[in-house]
Amino acid sequence: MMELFGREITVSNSFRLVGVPIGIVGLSLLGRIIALACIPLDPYWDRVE
Amino acid sequence: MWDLNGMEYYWGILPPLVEAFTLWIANTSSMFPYRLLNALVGSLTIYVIYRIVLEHFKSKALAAVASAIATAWPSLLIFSTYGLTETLGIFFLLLAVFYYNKRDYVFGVLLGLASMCRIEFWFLALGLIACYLLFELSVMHLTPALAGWLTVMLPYILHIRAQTGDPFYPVYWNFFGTVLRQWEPQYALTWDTIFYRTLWLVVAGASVVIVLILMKRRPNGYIVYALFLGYLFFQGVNATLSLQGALVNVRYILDRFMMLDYLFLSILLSLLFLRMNRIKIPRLRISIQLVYGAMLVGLCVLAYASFIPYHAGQEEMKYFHEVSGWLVEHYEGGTILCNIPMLNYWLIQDGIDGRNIVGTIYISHENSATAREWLKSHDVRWFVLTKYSFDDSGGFYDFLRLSGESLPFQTEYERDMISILSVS
Repeated sequence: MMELFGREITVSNSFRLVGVPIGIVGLSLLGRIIALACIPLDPYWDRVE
Repeated sequence: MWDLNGMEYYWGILPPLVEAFTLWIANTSSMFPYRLLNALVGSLTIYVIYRIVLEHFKSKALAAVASAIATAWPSLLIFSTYGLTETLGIFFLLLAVFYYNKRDYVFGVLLGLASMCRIEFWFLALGLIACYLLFELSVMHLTPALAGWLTVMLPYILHIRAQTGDPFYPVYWNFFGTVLRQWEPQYALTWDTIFYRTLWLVVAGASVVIVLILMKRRPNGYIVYALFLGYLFFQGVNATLSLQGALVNVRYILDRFMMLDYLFLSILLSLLFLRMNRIKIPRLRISIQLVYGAMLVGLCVLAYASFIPYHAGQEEMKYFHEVSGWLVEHYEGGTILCNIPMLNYWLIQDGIDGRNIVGTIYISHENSATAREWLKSHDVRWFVLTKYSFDDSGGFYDFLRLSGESLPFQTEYERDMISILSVS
């Protein structure tokens, strides 16, 4: 029996269990990949200094 | 990790180790693999936010709105693509909160890992562990959590003690060096900084009062509030006491130190959204929710509009690259004395061996003869002198100048804030 975040994975709930994390992480990652492309040289230091 | 020239025990040990690992895996000296890893960790953090909100507030709608705001918020998105240390630390911190009251030892271990990323997380971690005592009155939960934290932190603390003689070296220097600004000239008190200090003092006081109320009422998700309010208290105390200008400046709200606050804001805004479900007239409820949604989008656009001008420009990075380019062109061996992380980074990208770059912090600032001897024995041929307030090079230069003897430096290149001096 497999578990994800303490919940049993079955065929019926596997899509929801896997789909939600993949959807959230995927969308967040997409935004970050765009940011990486827009800011290719790492500023490293914040500008407040 | 590009700021380890004398700062090895000041910064948390885990992010530089992880970055070193990415350099080794990718067989490169570029920080891009680490930035990519941070982007992934930042994205996982958004999912952890979703899980935390779902776990503690028992609402999928609330979790979805909180994670949507956190996904789109500019400082959370953009900072997690930089080679900073916060991203990894915040991930462990939030993952720990997910395991609160579930797996106490894992909770402690994750807090230990967070503490190895950022010094301020030492205080937050111990505060969160103390929540077992303050909210649950449970030593049975507290003990494994503390054991988990010590499992990770004890070897680290012993390592710091072995290397520096002080087991709390980073805590000490973060307070006296950074907050009380022993490393920099004292910051002048002006009316605007007094205003911001007062504001932060109010924030710190309000955070304590709210935590005390939470201790009495113990609402759902109190550990989430305790984390963020604890951080607000820490920030408030720091900013009130600090002689560092950056902490008492309105631009602080655009800074990476606000990442945890914006995560808190995303949860608070989603809680507000959920409260609208209590409006019983459907049309009114939908209208208010639409207006609220439009306000959130507007707020996010406004945040991007104020944030991006400070971060999207690449001119400063190009400037550092051009300065390092001049030095690489004229370099014929020997050691370079340079404290600026981005310059160190470019020097290494352009072919200088990292072992030939050292910082002024290694050199005695009390005995000029010893300092001069150090420069000779380490074959120092170039000295990068800057006007940046956080850089020790100016202090070292002034110390040698005030000794009265002739300086062993000759200015060869000057551009804006940076001068490159040959050393004889």
